Amino acid sequence: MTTFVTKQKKKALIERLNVFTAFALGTISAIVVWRLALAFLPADAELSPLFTREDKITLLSMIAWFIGFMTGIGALIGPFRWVQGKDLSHEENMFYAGKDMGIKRYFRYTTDHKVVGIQYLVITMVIFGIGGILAMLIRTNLGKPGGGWIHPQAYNSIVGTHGIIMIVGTIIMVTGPFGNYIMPIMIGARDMAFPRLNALSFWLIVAAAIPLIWAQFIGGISTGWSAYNPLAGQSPLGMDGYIMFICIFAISTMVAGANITTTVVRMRARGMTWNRTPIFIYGVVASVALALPAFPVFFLSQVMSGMDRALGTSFYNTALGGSGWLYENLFWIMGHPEVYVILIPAVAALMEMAPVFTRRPLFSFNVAVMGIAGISGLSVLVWAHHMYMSGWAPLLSAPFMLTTELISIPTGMLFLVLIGTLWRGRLWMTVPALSIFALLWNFMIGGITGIYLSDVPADAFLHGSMFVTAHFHYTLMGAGLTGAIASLIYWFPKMTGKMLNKRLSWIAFWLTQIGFNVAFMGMFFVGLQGQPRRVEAYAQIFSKGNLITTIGAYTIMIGMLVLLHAVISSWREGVKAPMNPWQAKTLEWTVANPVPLENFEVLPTVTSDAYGYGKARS
Amino acid sequence: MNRKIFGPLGTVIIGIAVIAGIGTYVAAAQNDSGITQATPAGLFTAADGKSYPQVKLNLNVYPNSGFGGHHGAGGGAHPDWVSYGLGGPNGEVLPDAKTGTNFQVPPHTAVTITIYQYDSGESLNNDFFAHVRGTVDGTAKFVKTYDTKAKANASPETVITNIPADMVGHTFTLHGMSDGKSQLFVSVPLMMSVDEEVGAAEEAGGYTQHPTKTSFTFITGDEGEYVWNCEFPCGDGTIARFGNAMSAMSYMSGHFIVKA
Amino acid sequence: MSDLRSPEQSYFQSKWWKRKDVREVVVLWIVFTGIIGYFSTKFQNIAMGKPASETMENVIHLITTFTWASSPVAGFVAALAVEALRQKRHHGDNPPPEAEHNISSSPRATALWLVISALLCLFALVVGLIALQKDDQALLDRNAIHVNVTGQQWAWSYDYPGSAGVRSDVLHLPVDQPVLFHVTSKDVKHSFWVVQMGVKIDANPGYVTETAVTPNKIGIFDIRCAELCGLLHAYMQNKVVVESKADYEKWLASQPDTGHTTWKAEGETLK
Repeated sequence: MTTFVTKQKKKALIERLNVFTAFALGTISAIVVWRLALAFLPADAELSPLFTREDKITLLSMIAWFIGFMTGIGALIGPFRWVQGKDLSHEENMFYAGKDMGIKRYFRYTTDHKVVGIQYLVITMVIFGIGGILAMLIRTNLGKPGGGWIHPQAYNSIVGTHGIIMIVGTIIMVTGPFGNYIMPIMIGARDMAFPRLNALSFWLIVAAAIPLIWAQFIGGISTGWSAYNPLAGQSPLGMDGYIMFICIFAISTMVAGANITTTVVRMRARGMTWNRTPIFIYGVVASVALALPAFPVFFLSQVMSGMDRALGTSFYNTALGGSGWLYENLFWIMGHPEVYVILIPAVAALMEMAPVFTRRPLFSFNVAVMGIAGISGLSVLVWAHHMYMSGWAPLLSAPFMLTTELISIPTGMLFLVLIGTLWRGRLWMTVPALSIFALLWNFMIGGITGIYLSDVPADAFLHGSMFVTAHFHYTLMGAGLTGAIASLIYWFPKMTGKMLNKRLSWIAFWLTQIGFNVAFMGMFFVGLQGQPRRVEAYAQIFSKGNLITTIGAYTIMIGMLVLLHAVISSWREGVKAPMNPWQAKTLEWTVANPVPLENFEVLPTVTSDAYGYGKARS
Repeated sequence: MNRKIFGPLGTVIIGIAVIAGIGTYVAAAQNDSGITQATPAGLFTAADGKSYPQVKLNLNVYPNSGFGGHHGAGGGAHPDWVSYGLGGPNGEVLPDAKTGTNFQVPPHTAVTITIYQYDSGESLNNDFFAHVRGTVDGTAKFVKTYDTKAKANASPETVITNIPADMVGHTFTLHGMSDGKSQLFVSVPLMMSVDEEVGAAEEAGGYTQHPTKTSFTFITGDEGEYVWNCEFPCGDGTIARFGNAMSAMSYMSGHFIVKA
Repeated sequence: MSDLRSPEQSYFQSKWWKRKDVREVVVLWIVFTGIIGYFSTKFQNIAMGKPASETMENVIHLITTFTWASSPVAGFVAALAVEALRQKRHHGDNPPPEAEHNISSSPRATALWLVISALLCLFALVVGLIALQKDDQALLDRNAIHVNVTGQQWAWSYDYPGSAGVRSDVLHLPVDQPVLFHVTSKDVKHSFWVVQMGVKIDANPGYVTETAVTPNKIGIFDIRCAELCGLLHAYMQNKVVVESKADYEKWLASQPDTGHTTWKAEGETLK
């Protein structure tokens, strides 16, 4: 290949580093620091207000895992070179980009955005798999009123872990695989603005996942995914795993956000003005633009939680001068924009697919952009609607009710774009096309139930009940996941060179959609009856609704497993895909399968937008 | 059968198997998986003349988990955590008991629970729980010093409705979901044993010879699943001292099943 | 020129309200609005059951109103979607031929949509603010009896300031009497939810929060903790007994004196 590899047959350091060395170095570091901390950390002072020594040991050893893992994967080589006043050579950069490496490039710190996209796809599936297993444990336990299959401590930990894992999974499910693989090609670039940061953002997620899994074996977490303090302060050691997971994931998100934003702003092809930029790009950029200010606040809230646990501070401990409301505010300032981080790319992806599957232009690109911008802008002004019942600021209920209800207007614009594009088109019956209908159905229900919740007096009844759980599953899963699965089917040919098995994807679509609606309609019912959320057991009157929900959940499980099989079998031995199976007009469909390392031989020049379908009226 | 169905069917079956396996593992990872049935003890006549079948339960509360019992010989993962456990009728320590915090009693029955309390104590978070509630006449029978060697009361038995809020060792608080059936709520404070004796006994590797003894009776309603937990916060170092032992089943909490 | 136009192109010559698919959409719209509104409100009313206070009656009324107000929107989206499905659907591996038009925007449709959604939003806001104001007024009722609610892991306890040290695990209330709850927690966050009366307020450690309601039905109802508070959150529930004033006074008198309540008199801080 190049000189430095064949020189004296001695492998350079960067050639040796991969996921296995990362795990090894991370594990060794964690164990070493754990033993050192165990031996040398002083015992807690007699009068220390909170139990700290074990938390310190746990946090220190998790930080050691993180540093060891990132060193072992090779993330520090670049910075290490800069400290020496050098940088990577061109051959090393090509090595990093995975040139001629075959399948090994997926197990390394590879910078090629296409490799990172595939890596994100795989880890998203793993995350959904784990989250899905936890969901099935939850619903099996709730099949009978008295609960009793999984004991309360493990159940609460499973509920909280399911929540946070699914939130992370849904955050990355569109922006990760498709924002990374497809987006640069779609804007006519060769790679992203910061390829090494791209690899970093992916491997940070792998590094983050281990503390969360580890947490389950050291007592689990006692809170929901929102990790409310002061309960989080009382939680067993697993809470430190949650804190580390979030801190590392927040860094990953911020890095990815900076990368995506810079790429889109600076590296669009010649002639691709903002008017000609596909709507999917707007969706991805809006999503990360929201995440960029939101996640540092999340990071901060968790650092303070960790400090309360390990260093005896009292940010959230009212008895010592702090306040749980501080935590709620910090959390929800992130928590609300975050749900739009999840939703916008999925809806934008479907808006991108709608013209392709109706063979007519997108109905009002400008309205779509306004809708996305309106939602993004308003979403940072609504957070305290999660706190109407907290007692924090009753006088602020009305203003937050105003801002929250205003969001329905830009959201409605997105509906207008989708149904406008369906109107008088030539409907091509594919799963992505039907996903648009599924999104309209699910998002309508999710959105309207959101209006009930935004109303303070109604929220006095609905807050903290299963109604809320059903509402956000309808929006994040019914709308969000539907868009993500449609994106998978749509872009699968480009990413893998194969078509996803049609029959299996239809079966998976129907099972998932029907199972989903059965499950969460049952949940709306028990919520309206008065069942609180996050309960391990419930009263007899809720038994019918819960049984229906459990049956729906099992149906979803079968649908998702069928989809999993479809993905794996099609990837390995599916029908070979032509270059542009959907006859779509965006730039990614102009490159061959498999996509060459640098995407385009000659960078394209764009002269119109990508929605030039349909015949001009004579 | 079409060959093409094997693939997806196999994936579904493997998926279900994985979930079932993980679920079984998690479900089995309980601190106390057994249930103790209360022992029948004849008939009980209430103040209004009604007669109920009666059952009995004997419990002990220990300052640590070293007594064995359902935590195992060494005291399990947390030998320093306080714990409830099954006890003999005279407060005997039962180190071989395989279970100790989950109980089952029949419905519409008088349940008499006798608790020997071997731990010291302090003030409650909420002195509401220093009062006796939910028992047959709102009272409990109390012996301040019981001699486990002599197997007899070392101080006279009194009838109490509450104890000083700053001398509480633990409480036995039984409650459950609001389930359309009768609400069962019973809370009885258990006074602390003498601090110095508890400390001295612990250093000698055992328990005090003079625990307090409290017994009370309540009538169960319809079938249902309830829980009991202690409301004296002893999870040191955690928020409101309600973490650690207080937030782990089978130490300071357990299941209480009313079933025929 | 007109003779050579295809059926689809001549579509655009007729007035929009005369077009076949537009008429079908209108019919579907009316039908779907009715179905959605009727079945949704039925579903909701069956689930929510019988209210035990005017506050809960207002909640049910609010939810029903919002459902009917949004049914036309949902019905319209559904009608358009179904109409799109009713057109010729193309199957197969190849894309269908391109559409006969390339309409990419309609300022009129957009403006109409915006105006209607803004009006609906305004409607929801006004209705909500009126109901909120009613709830806020209830907090100022001078005739209210006061009940202190203390949440802790994992049981609620109630006490009646102004009584002879009455504290209880079952909440007793007289019917048709406003009651003001002062709610706090001893440890972590809980949420005091009197389900059938439609009121809820979080119990925060170190703070006292308030909510008020007037029960208007005699009966036994549920109080459920609505904020995950640890191990036994699912079991932090008990009953509220609403009875006649006479029965309530009798019950108060029959309760033992525990020496004190958690709040002694107006102005004094809670223990």
